[in-house]
Amino acid sequence: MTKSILKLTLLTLLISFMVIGCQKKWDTPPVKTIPETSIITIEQLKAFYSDTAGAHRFVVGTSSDELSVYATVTMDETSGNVYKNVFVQDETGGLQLRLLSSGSLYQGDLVRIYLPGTSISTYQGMFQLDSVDTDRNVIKQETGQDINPEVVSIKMINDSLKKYEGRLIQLSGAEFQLCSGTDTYADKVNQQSVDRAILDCFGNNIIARTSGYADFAGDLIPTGNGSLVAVVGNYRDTPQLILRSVEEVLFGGLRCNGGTGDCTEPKTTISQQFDNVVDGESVCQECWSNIAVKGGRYWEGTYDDFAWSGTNVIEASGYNSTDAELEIWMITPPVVFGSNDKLTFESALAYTWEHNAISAWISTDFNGSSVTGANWTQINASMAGQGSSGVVGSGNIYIQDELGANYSGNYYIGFKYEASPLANQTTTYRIDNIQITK
Amino acid sequence: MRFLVIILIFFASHIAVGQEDNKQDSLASALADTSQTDDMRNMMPAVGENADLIDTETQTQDISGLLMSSRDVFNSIAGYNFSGARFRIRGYGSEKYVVMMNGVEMNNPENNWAIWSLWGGLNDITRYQNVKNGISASQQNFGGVGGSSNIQIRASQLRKTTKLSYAFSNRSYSHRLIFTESTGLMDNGLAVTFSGSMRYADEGYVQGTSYNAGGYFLAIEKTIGKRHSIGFSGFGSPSVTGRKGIATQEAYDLMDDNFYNPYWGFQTNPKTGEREKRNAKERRNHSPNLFLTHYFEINKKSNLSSTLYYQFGKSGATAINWYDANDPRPDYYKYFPSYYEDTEPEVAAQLVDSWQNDDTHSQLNWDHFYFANSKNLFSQENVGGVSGAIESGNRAKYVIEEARTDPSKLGFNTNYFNILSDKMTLSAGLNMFTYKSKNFKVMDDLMGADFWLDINQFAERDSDEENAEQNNLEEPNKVIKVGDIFGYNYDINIRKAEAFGQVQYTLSKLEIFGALNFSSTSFWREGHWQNGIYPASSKGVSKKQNFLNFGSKAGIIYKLSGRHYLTANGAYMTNAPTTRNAYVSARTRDQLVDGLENSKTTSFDGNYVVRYPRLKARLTYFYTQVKDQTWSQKYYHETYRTFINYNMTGVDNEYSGIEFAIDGKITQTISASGAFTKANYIYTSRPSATITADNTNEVLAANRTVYFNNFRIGGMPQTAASLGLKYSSPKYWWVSANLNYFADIFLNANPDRRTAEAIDVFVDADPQVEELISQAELNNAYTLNLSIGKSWRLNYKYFINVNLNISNVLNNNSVVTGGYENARFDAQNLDKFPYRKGYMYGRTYFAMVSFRF
Repeated sequence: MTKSILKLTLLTLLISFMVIGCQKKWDTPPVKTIPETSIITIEQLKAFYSDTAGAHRFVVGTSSDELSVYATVTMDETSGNVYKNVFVQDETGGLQLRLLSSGSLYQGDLVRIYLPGTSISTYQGMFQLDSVDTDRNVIKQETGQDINPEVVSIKMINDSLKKYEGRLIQLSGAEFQLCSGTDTYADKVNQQSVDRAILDCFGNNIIARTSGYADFAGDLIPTGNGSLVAVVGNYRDTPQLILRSVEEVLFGGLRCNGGTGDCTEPKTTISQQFDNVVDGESVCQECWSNIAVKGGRYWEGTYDDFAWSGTNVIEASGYNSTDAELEIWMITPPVVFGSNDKLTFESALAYTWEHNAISAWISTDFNGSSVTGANWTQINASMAGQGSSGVVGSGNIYIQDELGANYSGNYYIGFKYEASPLANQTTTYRIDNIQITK
Repeated sequence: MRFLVIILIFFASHIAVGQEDNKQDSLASALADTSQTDDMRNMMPAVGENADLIDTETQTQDISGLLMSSRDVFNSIAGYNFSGARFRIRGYGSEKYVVMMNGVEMNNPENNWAIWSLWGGLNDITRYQNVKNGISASQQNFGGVGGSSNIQIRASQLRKTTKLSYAFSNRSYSHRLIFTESTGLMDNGLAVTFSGSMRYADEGYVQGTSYNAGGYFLAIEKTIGKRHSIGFSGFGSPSVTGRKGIATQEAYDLMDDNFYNPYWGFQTNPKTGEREKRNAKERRNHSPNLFLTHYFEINKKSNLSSTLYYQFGKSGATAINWYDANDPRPDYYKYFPSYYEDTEPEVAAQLVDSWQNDDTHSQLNWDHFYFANSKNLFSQENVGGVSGAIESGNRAKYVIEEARTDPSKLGFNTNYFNILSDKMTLSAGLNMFTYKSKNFKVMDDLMGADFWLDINQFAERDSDEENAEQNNLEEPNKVIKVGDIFGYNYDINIRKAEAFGQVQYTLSKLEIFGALNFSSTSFWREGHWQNGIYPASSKGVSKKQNFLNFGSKAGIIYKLSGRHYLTANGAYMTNAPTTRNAYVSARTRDQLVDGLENSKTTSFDGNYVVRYPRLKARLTYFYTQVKDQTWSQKYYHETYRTFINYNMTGVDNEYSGIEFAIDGKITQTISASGAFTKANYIYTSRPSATITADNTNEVLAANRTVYFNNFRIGGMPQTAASLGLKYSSPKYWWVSANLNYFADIFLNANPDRRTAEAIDVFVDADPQVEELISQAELNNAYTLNLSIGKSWRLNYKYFINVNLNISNVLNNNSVVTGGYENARFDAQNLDKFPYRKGYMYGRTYFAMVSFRF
């Protein structure tokens, strides 16, 4: 009987192994394969665009358009700085993808971009792959394949824009141009994009453009010096950096000029000649505030060879403005009060006089950004006005006369320009050589 | 002997856990009986009332009940130990078994399944089954390739007994009481049997599942003269049970409970202010069966029994429906944190908190349904098509509706048996019936609203056709109150006539049988309402579909000796398509699936059987192939964004493998048993699929090839093994333990994913191709069951049995028994619709005490 059991058991095991051996792999529907020749690079893709013929549309069903590109997503829409756009990159270059619908692609996704249905074109000079359907044109291969940004300098980008366009780069030794120290990346309130200048210590500069919808749009731009990661964009042959995330802007070091960039640190003296203002552009001086309280104009730089005979000065004007009222302030950084502090400055009319516009003020509680939120006391100073000609000196203004000898703390000096363009009061005024000595 | 011990040690060293033993019956009560003869095994209680884990309208396919009544050494071990893992003998569904009562086939004519719940709770009666395994000779019916079983309901054949049993359990129900009184054939020629039962649970093993069921059985027989007798048998099993659904792993993780049930929620009782559990999905069945039989003993060698039978009653399932409201189901995919993970992580974090701490979010929020219904003032004009008829009030946003399939069947069956000679017997039978099911929806609960408007909201949204949203063009915009019929209203009619003949021939070393069967089936649909999407094909009597079928089988037993047998059996048969799969969408129209044809089954098996008084063993190789089946399912399709009907024709299956079992006494008191099966249950064709939109008149895809070859049939282990030890004390108590192993469990594959269309955006190098095509295999499992029992005999005529059966002794509740891929899928993001899975219960018990005298 035991023999029967053994025989049966062995027979069972034998047949089971036969059954196991017979198990076949499951069925597969016919799958397309991509021939080697139909995989192209980003560089080859861009070559489809021609300046004469324009955009190239990859047509579904045309065999020569049955091409694929393998690339990795370097920037996605998570920060909100781009919308219905992502950037991808392979060894040959970077490219912007314009998606038909938002979402589903993330930084680090390695994808195969299947071209039929898309078109390669340029927008304001920048390459883009348009009409990308994330369901049909983008097939994820892997996730988490983050690409390291290439470390470059501003000069390299400016010199070879076409090479770096669309790529993920890292700058080091860079800093934001520092104006009032209270600038934000973009205009979050009005959801407007804003350009901010980024400089290196060799005199090169490049624009960083941030969308008002970015999650960091309302953050203050950092004032130190350091590294940042961004994708290189192109607007009419001008490089534009698109920041990927605010955590990647690491500007914590000392600025090129050795300062900390901390505009809350009070100065002991002021000596401002406005030598480096740019003619016709809004004045940006480190830690000086240039604020439009009413209207849309700012103090601008200008080259004066009229009153001062050949130097850069700042100017405010209502000429050709369509605003009903203008009120523009230029405010110094905070200054530490010293009992002997003496303020002097120079002002002048430019062109004909129509109204008195400028005045000087002092405040101890200005917070760096809100003029109306601070208390201002007018300073009795000699200003250019009706009948004045040439440079008008302010005369010596002793701060202790305004604040009292026992005052301790900081103060700000503000220069206000007012005009009523609708009432034809548009006189242009200029100021230079603002000094506070101890 | 040593060999056995080695194998035992091997298994014991891998001890693990958990068996979901969903047999509710008194399996142990028979084991408690110490005589251990084949007779006792034959009278083991049957019927497993199976936990319904699958969220479909299907009834169970598990035939464990049938198996446990089998004398066959493999089937009885499998029946007791494998059903927890949803094992099916040879992979067959219950359509391959014919279950009879008094020789009358009881399988549901619409899908050929055996519906055990029809006689739920009548375990004392159904334990008397004559079970045939596989292709075999049966004197009552041609049977199926899986076998057949005939339940004895003839009063004079039910042994004289009075029995009362009480069982206590934590599975589907908590309490069960059965009382049975059987007189046997008395001197006055009368026999009466009565059985009544009650099963109850406030809440079963899974939360939100209540159980309320009864059962009644009456059989009377009177002999008339020496050769005739007339018998009446009737029974019914009314039940109302709360169902449970299975969920995704994310749901189980969030709830920290592998038995999370999305079908229930709390409702505040307006009178007491207390929150009570309420389940939206209830099953309500009550379908009595009546038999009137004439038994005619023609002479000592032949007899004829003829039965008139009738079934009627109702079968319904409730569900929640909603209009112009948020999806009420807590496990709707957009209510999960994973849906927002990438895009809005703060929302995802908030949802995790809601799931874990707010039961109005993780379960149904009944109070909200009542609230929403209380403030939805609406005026409907032209109610019922009557101009000027306006109904104003709160129009329901959420309702509970009941989908009914009420059967009625009238038939006649006659069975003839003749012992032609001492070597040959002849059996023959004729069966015919007419069957009708009434299918409709009835409003069950308006939940505080004043009315529900009977329109098809999906057609309203999707279709440009005028009146497409009307379910009944003759009474458009009908206002529905509780108890009104709405939605759809049609009958399925089936008429069948079949005849079989069988000859059995016995020689000294050989036994042969052969049988033939012929049947004619005719079915049609009668729609009572004309609906707006299919006005030409919804109302009226459809064309009758007629199918002729035949079957043939033969078997041979060769006796090597009195103890060793070799047997071989073969069968070839055709079957008509079932009405459940033949109509594209019976709810809306009479359109048939294109290419309907008979399915063809070819089967054979070879066996080596050993039978000693102290040792039984069997080794079998089996092979069955079924060709040209049709398959129908309705679900929401992601790409087409609408409800669709998915019909496949040309579906072929193959079931092949081996079975081995052995059971023997090692000593006077200790016996050991073992069973092993390894098989392949696969699809062996590339079916052709047609997809039609349910709410507009559109064919979305025609004759799409499904690359299904060699995909495994999912949801059951294709390899199983069991080792058991039992100790029977001469003092009438016993204890047994079984260690079981299951492997090769696959997830049911969604055919739509295995098409060229599903992968058309991909190339072979893309990882999505493998993800979409491959079939997921679930983990192997070990389970440990224990049973213990004792019986007493008082005054030589009173028997008391007590027994306790514990499944999943070690309480492991992380064993997945099955599941199914989501019919919806996003090819680019398979995780969006993860598959649903069901877990084996943790430790469950079933304790019973019975008095018999």
